[in-house]
Amino acid sequence: MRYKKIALVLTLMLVLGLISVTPAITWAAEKKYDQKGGPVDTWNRPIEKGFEVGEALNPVHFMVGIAVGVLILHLLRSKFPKVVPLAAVRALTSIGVAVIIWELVVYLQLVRSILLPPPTAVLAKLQGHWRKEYLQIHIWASIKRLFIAFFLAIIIGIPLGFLVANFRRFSDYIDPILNLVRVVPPPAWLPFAILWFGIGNPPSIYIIWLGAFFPIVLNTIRGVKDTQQIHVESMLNLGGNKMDVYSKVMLPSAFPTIFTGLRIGFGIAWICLVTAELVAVDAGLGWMIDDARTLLDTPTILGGMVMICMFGILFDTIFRKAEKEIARWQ
Amino acid sequence: MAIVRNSIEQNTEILKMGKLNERTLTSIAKNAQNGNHVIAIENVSKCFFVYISHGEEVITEKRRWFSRRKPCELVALKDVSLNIDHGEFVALLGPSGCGKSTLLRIIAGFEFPSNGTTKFKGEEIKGPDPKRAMIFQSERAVFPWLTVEGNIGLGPRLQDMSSEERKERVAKTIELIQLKGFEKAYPKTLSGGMLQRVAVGRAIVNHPEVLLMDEPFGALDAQTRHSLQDHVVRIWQSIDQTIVFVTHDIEEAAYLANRVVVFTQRPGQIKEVVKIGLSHPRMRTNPEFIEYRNYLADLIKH
Amino acid sequence: MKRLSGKALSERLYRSFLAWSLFIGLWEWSIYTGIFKSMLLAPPTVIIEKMLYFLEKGYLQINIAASLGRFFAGFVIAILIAIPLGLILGLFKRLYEWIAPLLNFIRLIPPPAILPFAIILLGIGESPAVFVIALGSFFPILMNTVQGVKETETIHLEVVKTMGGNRVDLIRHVIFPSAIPTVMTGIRIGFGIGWLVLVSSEVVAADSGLGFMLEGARNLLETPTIFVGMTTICILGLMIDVFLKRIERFFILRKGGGYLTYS
Repeated sequence: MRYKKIALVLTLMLVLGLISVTPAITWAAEKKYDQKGGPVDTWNRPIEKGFEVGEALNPVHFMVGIAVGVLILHLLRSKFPKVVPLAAVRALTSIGVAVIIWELVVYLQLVRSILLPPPTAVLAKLQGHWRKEYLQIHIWASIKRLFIAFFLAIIIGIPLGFLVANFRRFSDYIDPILNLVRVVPPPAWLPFAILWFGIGNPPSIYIIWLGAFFPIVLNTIRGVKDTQQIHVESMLNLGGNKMDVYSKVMLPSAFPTIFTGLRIGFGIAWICLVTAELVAVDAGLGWMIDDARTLLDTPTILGGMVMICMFGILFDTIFRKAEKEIARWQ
Repeated sequence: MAIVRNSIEQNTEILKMGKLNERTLTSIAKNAQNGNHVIAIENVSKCFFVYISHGEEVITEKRRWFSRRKPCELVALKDVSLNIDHGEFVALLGPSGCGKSTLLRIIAGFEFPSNGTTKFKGEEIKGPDPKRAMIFQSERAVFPWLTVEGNIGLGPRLQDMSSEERKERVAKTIELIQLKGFEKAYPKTLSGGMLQRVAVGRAIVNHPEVLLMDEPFGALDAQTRHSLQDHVVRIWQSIDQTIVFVTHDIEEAAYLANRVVVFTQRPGQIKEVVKIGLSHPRMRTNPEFIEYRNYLADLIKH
Repeated sequence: MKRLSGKALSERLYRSFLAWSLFIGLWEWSIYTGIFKSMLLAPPTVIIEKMLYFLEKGYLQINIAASLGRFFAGFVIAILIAIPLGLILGLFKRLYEWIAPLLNFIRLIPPPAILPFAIILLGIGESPAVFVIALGSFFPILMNTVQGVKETETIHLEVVKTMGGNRVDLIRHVIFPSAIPTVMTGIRIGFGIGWLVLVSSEVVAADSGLGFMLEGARNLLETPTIFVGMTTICILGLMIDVFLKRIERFFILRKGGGYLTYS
């Protein structure tokens, strides 16, 4: 198990190393796209927003590097099938092939590079933003916002779900209001939230919180209500009191459902985060994308999308792993 | 009251045949003489109200005063009186739906009689109690999120037992139910018979005074059922215990119990109490056993 | 099956009625007493008045038509592409195994994040919004179709094979019908996300539609109009959701079994 992980990290490092070892010949890339005529692309200009563009890789080297990396991965897999996991091979292959096609489409001038900047340009731009600590600021702003909102959704949502599921009288009162608010899509709250809280973090946190809150509450309610009567009775029979029933029967048996709620809630919160950042704030990955749009800075737009996607995958993987680890009994 | 009168007679009979170990015998005799029953059920009746709402059958214990429709009254038990002494193995036998499970749930404290009293060692039953451990009909009652060890150790943990004592008890119980080597296994990896053994272990680890079993082996295949029945007998013999066992399987009742309470169709009433004067381990091919079995079958049929 | 101690329906209705009237009463009262400024929160009576006024003028209808047109364009495109593609991916498992990571990669980009790029790629107008909505509803439908096809019971396939059915028969008579309930679930989830994306894309970049109405009203500080927009979105969403749930239920009940998933 551990060897598998080490091997995965090593192969990843190998692929990345190959890419970075390829000499970064900036002028080659620039000339390639300039000489063939057509408009000079904005992403090559080092003056935007006072930031320098990073060094662009040679597209040919880049494509060959990725292809070689994928091939080496396949070789490793065939040599040591136990060490290199199949899932990683598949993932890296399909993504690698897609990146090569993307680069090739632009390289062959099938699409104008101002509309679809190639991966090399996106990487160069991201590198430049990273060096100027422009990217870090936005990533940190987004993550902080997301975490605060998600944390609030959890600490309010799960106890509320427990209350609603267990106390009929309470749920009779709270259900209608919960249902009313549930059907309004969170982005529709945005103008109202801005009106109340002004531009900045509070309205966006509110929207993200709304997005995460309802899946968590609804799944908690469902999970708790699906607790089997026989388990509750067993617990009472073993000498447990009401608190034992709540904490030792309902919580563990509802746990998988609650966790599904967390994952769905996270997905919706992620959408709401970007929406809120497009409108209501002045920092964050969504804002970075929208700001780049006004400047027609397509590499930054795509770079921002790639970053968002990376974080999405990261969190999704963490959720799946944690779910598997904690609900091992299922 | 005939049952009470008979119990001393029965005990001497058992004594003659040398059926139980010494300790159980003395305790049975002592309790019977004192008239101090472990479980005393007097004139218990239980009825439910059945409503049809939205095409669904809703069973309630209380009458709804605002319902548009008249409920259908369902009498599950009617005037049931039964005394159970220490160390007895009593089987409640009857056709399905005759209220025997309801009686067991009343003894366990999950439900309360509409009429009559139930007493446990002279005190009224007010709710579930670990001293009256229940083994449920379905093996799903085992908590799937706990390991075998966790399931069995839960009862002692709830009683604030020290960890060494708990470990010792759990280990002993696991040995008794013959699940050694499966301590760390989650229920999803175990078979139905093993799960039901875990349920038995979870019940006996608390050293309950009464073990209540609600058709625990109904869903298992014949072979597993037979081996578990032997298991239960062994447990009953090794730790001095009272067992109340609900079943609709005539052979099972005759094989296990030393007193079989036969119920009528709904509304459930006691038809007859049959003492089984056979020693454990019993043989299914024993002519005496077959006689008992046929007698019980006749009772149920008519 | 039996359900113990169910509460009387009338009692629950009474409680929810009480909760509603309390909620609305407090809302109205809080504005008249000046706890909240009327600029920040519009009272229900004013909202209803405004709504009727808009309905009379035809302003609300125009925006509803714009939003619904945009939404269904994207939604129908998503269904038309996702179901055949899902069938193909579900049937050719090797292909799916290789493509799945890439699909996951794209699936995890929230559709609004693609909006700025779509605007540059497709130009300002209807097409970027339609594209983003289609993308939002596309993945749930696709994933559920693939899952539905994969979960076809082997025994059913074998039954048709013994009757002498070929591959096309298998797809037509077994795989497709048995996948329908799962596909319907996907469509309903896809509707939820598409609806979310519709509103967010209209709030961010549009010149018509309910989201635009909200954002425009915010710029003019017209609080009642914001509430009118939110109420309309809420009612429309509820109607479509109930409709889709009915269809899903129908298919699930017909199949006998299956499960409803909520999200």
